[in-house]
Amino acid sequence: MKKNIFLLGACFVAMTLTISSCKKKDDGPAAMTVTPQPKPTLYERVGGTTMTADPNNTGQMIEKGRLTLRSVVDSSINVIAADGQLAKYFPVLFAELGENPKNTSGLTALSKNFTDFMCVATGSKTYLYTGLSMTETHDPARNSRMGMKANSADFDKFVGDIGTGLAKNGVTAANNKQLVDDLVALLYTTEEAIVQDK
Amino acid sequence: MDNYKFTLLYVTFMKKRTIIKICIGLFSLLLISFVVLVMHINSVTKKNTTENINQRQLSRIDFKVHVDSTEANKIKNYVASLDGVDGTHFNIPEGIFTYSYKMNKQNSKVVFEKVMQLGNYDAHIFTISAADAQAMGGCPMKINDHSFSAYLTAYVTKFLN
Ligand code: HEM
Repeated sequence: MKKNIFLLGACFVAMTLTISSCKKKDDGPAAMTVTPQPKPTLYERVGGTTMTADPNNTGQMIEKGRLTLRSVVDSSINVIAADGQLAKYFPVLFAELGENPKNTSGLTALSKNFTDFMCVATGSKTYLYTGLSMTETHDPARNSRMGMKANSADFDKFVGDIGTGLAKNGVTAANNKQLVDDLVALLYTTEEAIVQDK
Repeated sequence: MDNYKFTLLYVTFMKKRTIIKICIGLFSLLLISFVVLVMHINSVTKKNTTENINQRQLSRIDFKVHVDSTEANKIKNYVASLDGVDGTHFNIPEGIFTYSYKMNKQNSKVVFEKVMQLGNYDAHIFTISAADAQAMGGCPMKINDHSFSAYLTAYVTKFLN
């Protein structure tokens, strides 16, 4: 009996220790230093953390903000892939498209990473970007999926294509100029790292 | 003297029991920590991985002769209505049509043949050989997704989901 009580005690202590240490890391000091934000983040403006049914994955829920960004990313990938001027940068992605494509995960990975990137960049605290840094991603020497160094004209074209992707999701400069301007401004913060053919 | 010996034996016995108790305690501590770790990994990774179950692919059809916007919209709407297709774009000035789809539901060859039934267009599926890809600068053999950690992640994801 004594032994059982001892074991129970040990289990309880272990559980409390692990759970409490977990908690501390997650929302301890960070939560305390967060200052109240006067303006909603871009992530909140595109839908925020409200959960909604995921149209692409039956039975699953997704944050509205992520759903918006994922739709824009996926539309934009289609627009960019149909852009003859930008094709030269995507040799590996294009090599994966075939008459009978193999079970490659290039598009799935690109869509996920780009969406994660946009979620984090717009201020989501739920998702994590685990891809390469913008400099590494867009350096052909360090990322074999990047065909060549990007120049500034192609960067502008690329952002324009994302604009088309936004329009495909109902957001245009005509109906929501502020949102388009803010998203484009956000994209341009990466120009310095991405345009490496200067 | 005998009494002393007995006490010594008793103490040694007690020590062994204590050591066993401590061992069991430590072991359960380790076990519980591990279980909590697995639960923790599961809960923090789920959000980022569930969308990966459905592998998607992108295909491109290049039209050699000009396709006007009415015709382009017809093709686009038709492909968009096919099962598993989740995105389309027709770049009319360049005659390039792209669409993305779930690989378990569609096949680019089938879609192409269906599009050809809409009108006998001078078009072809855009493909690029590994050699061309290399000539363009990339090397498909060095895809990061083929690393050990990528395989492990894919396996664990599949298992957890
Ligand atoms: C507008 C700002 C841009 C952002 C925010 C951006 C972001 C990203 C991200 C997050 C990835 C995935 C990285 C990974 O998986 O680790 C990526 C991949 C890539 N990006 Fe960009 N990018 C931008 C502009 C450009 C431009 C202008 C080009 C070329 C003209 C370009 C070419 C590529 C290529 C070739 C890849 C690899 C695609 C593949 O997976 O095959 N990007 N980018």
